[in-house]
Amino acid sequence: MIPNLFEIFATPYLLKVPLMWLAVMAPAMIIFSPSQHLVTGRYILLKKWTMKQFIKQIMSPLPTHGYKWAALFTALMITLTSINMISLLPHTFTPTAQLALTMALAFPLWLATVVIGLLKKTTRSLAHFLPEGSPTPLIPALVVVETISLLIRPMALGVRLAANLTAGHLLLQLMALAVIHLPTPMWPATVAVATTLMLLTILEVAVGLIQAYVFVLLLSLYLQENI
Amino acid sequence: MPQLNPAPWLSTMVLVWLSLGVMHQKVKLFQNIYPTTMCCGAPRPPWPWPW
Repeated sequence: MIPNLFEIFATPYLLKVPLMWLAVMAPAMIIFSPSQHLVTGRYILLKKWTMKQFIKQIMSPLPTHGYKWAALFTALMITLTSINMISLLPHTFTPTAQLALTMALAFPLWLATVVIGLLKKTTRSLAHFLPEGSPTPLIPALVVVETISLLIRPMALGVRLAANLTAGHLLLQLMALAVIHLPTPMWPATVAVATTLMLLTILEVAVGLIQAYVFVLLLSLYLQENI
Repeated sequence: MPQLNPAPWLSTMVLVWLSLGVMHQKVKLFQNIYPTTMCCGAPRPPWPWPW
């Protein structure tokens, strides 16, 4: 019987309650919980420093009136990073591998950047449909290409995150199955696959962090074009 | 027996925005209580230190 490898991406249920709800709400419940201490300590200092570095990196290309998006981008980055990291624990579920989640984030945020651009700076937003210095005969084709490029952005944003997480977790599942099912006389192969599995886990940690950062970075770039 | 989750994708979409909203409020609250400073933060309190 061939096992269905994609079963790991199905939402688990406990007494008819989908555990996806807990998986999605977990970061918001755990991180940045109110503390009884008003005096800064090492942990709060670490959080402050991390937030400051992230905000400086993401928001410095934006104009001053775009800084109101800083809290949203920080919250988005923390949510995605923590969901990705929690999903790497054994026997957990990967919410960001679901297109419903990634598209639910990507599409409204992209639409917000486009609508803001069209409302506040209409001419400049529409000017993005034709790159500067384009040859005159190519103008109609370029406008069509740029329009398609604009409309495909939310899909690319959502699918990039989901596909990367899905591929990584599937690979981890495959290697883990290989380690479990390889026969005992093939122990050198088992050791090699187990080593590769450990290295792949480290890679998946990096991929989780990078993909969350890329998601937020691209949104900030789209905002930069339109604000 | 009626299903608790008739539209899984809809509940996921609603919940992720709820989660993001909660996190957004927490980030704003954190920034208000502990405004980011250029250097090392507030000086240490007198002994005994809690850490």
